[in-house]
Amino acid sequence: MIRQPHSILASLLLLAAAVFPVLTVAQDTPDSVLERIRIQETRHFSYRETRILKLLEEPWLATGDMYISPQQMVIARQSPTPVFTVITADRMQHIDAGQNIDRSLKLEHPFAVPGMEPFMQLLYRPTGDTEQERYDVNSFETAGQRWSLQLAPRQNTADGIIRIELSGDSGLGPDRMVLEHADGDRTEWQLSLQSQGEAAGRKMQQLLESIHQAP
Amino acid sequence: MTRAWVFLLFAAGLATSAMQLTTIRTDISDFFFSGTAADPGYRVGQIQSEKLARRYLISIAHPGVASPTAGEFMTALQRALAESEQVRRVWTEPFSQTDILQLLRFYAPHQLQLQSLQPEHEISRLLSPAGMASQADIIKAALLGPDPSLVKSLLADDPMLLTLAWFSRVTQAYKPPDTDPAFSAFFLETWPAGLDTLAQQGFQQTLTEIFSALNSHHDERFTLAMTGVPVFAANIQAQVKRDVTRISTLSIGLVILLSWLVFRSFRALLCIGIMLLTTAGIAALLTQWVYGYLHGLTLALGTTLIGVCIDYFIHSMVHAGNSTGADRVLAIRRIWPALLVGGATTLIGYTALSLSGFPGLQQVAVFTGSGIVAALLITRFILPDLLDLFRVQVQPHIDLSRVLTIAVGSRSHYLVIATILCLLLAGGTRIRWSDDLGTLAPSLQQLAETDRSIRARLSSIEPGRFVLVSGDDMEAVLQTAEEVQRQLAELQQQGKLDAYYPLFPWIASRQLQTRNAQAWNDALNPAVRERWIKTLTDHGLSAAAFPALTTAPAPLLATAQALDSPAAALLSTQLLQDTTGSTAIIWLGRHQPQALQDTLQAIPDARYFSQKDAIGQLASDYRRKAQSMLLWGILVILALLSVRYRSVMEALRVLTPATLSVMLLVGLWGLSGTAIGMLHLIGLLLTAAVCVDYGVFFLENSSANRQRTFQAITVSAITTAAAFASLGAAENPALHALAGTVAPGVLAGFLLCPVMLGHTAKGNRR
Repeated sequence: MIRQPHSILASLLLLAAAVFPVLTVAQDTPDSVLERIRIQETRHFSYRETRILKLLEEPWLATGDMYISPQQMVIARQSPTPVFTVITADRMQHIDAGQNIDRSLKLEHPFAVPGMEPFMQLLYRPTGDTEQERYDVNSFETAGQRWSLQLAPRQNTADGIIRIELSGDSGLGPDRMVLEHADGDRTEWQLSLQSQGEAAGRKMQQLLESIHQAP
Repeated sequence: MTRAWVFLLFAAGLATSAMQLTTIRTDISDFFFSGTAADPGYRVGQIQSEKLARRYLISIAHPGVASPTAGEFMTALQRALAESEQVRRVWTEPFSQTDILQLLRFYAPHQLQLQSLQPEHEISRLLSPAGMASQADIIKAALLGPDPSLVKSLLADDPMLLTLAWFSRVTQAYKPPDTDPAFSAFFLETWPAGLDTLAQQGFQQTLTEIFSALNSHHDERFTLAMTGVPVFAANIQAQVKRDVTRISTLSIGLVILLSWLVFRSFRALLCIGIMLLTTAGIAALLTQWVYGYLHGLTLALGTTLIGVCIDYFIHSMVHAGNSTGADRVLAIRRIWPALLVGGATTLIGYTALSLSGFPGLQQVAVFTGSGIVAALLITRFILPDLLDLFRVQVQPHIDLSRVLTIAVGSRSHYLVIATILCLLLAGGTRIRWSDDLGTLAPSLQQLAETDRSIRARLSSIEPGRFVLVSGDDMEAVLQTAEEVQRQLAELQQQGKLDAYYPLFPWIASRQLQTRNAQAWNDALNPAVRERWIKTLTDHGLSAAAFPALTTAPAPLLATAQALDSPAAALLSTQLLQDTTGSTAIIWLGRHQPQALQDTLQAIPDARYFSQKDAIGQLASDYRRKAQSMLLWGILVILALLSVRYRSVMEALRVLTPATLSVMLLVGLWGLSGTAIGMLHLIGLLLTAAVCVDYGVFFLENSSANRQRTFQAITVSAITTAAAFASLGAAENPALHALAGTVAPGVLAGFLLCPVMLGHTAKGNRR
């Protein structure tokens, strides 16, 4: 019996679909996940931040939205109190309307935000830069459908970060990030992708306009 | 003849030396202001020229350009400029990220000593339950902000994290005014000094090229504007250079043309040219020797004033006429006394100038005075030989016998006197005095407007207005400055002062630091410590992880430490300490001058200083001195002439043309409403000095040939008037004032000679 050509094509497509997840898992290397972290289009995440500091009686929780585009990052914290942070290559603006704070800081290096510098460098490193120049890869693991990467900055940073843990679903960028400090303090971010591309860009623009129009 | 050849060699050597050894300076403040290290205004000027003069304020207009694009452009431009070898630093905000970190870390251990100008009150407030709650809020907000690491590092030295609020309070004054989104601006500081105009012109060229290269990639949507001392300095230098070239070319051209029309002899022109160049060379070298430099305006003004010396050459050449050898020497010897008297009266005029206190004119007086002496000596001892060497036979192609007959014969002098007196009476009472020195400075209106608009976008501080605190030592100065700041804070609360650049708490007197530490130590007791622990716990902070509150550390912040700290860049523009004493400057934002003056009256060693008012006062002083010098100059000239003629009446008669010419000008100024400043008065003095020469020449008529004497005076007068009139072609309004005074004054004085002296001149008697 001679098979119809379209049946052969359908079979090939079915085979490709079946093999694809396996191939994706195979692509979860340190280099590939780091490349996925680098921002190439606008993404909108909802986030949950947990800070565990020795100076705080209890872990501090915050939730909100985070927009990351190649030009800027906007963190719109919603709870416990609304606070906006807008970061561009050369400036960080921190607006806490409740505390009547509107601070602007000119950054000396692109996206070198104090306290977040190693993380920002991962997101905004120039094309061609490799993380291996800045970080030692302590470990990289894949288990089930998730990958996990642990990095250590090669040089001591002013913010005292000694370890960065990143993890995410196979084939995707990170959805969990932990920054560990030398004194034992740590900050954890859990991210949930809401939208990306033009839709995320539009939402970010609307948010920026509302921030700038606020009295 | 040998003497003439030696002179020619000397003239060539002199011209070469003058060109190589003379240093031309164009800093306009050198011309208008003088001072000593003991003068606080001068010391502030030093700070301005040393520290602030290297700064450019650069504004980029980008209407309609999207904010991220404009941001990228500005970042690229600033980076490219920062890479230039001539650039020391480029910055937008007064404090960079590194500055802030360094300042916070430096000042954290000194917080308790630098808390407040009213420590007892402030520390009581801080340690109250409400004050502690507020501080705990600040700590928590900072810990939960973007950079908790910084907070943790500061807490070790500053357990209540006072530094953050302190820094936020202190830096409030340095915030730029609300910015227009269509503009971006930044500061740039160069390595070369602001007044190194050659280097600055080169850098401005580089800056423009870098900007243009970037702008070409953005469809030329950005527009560059810049200001700052280097921009003004470069423009002033360019203007002075243009003026020097224009005036020299015009006056030399006019003199050559007129001389040619009168003498029709190239050799005569060559002769005059060589003597004038030699005179100018001697004047330049002598001035360089006395002052160490020659100001561009001295050169522009002095070259024209030295043109007066041409009178001596022309007068002598006309009198020497067609004679040769010994006859020529004899002819010049005959008129020598009159030349000497004329030269002496002119020198008196310039000496009076130098006594006006105006530093630029003192240099002009030295330049021109030395030129006159040189010209007289050349006339007496070189001119006859030079005329022989060049075989010059001078016969003026100008027939003035008819003019002379009418003027002398008309007996109209009473009518002339009456008319001029009427004009003086009518106009004299309407004279409008102006003491605005700014109107005499180079006219850079467009630059001044750019400066105002850029400054308004970059800083809330007004340039040129500040509080000056002086004292025997730094401790005394700081104590007074602290008292001033207490008063300024009150004025700020009353809305009479927008902002000021404070000295405290970057630096504080030992007395105030001790008071702060004492107030803290007195207040810190177990109950307060307990309250702080409870407050931290109530705010969800882990009290056990916080350093305990301790007494203030014993060592105080020394002045030298502060001056060597990250705050040094700020303090260097506000503090000056040297062997003559200490001075502090508190720069002011918009304010009510009267309120400030009233407030500061009660504080000894502190005074409100407005550079504009001070300059106005200076101009007023200069004008009063110039008025007085004008009077004294004429009186000394009268005395000299009285001695010369052994008769006051005869001396008065010689002075009549000059006096009437001055009266005529004053009357006309009053009627026309012209604003009269110091340079107009100086012009009057010059007019009088020159016209007295003509009176002397006319009255003495040493050659006993009235026709020839009048011919000589005529040639001198028209060349002098032409030389001064050429000053009117300058861009500098100071030179306009002189042109508008001396040129018509000299012509009037010359014309009045035959009218007023024709009846009494020697030739007439004969």
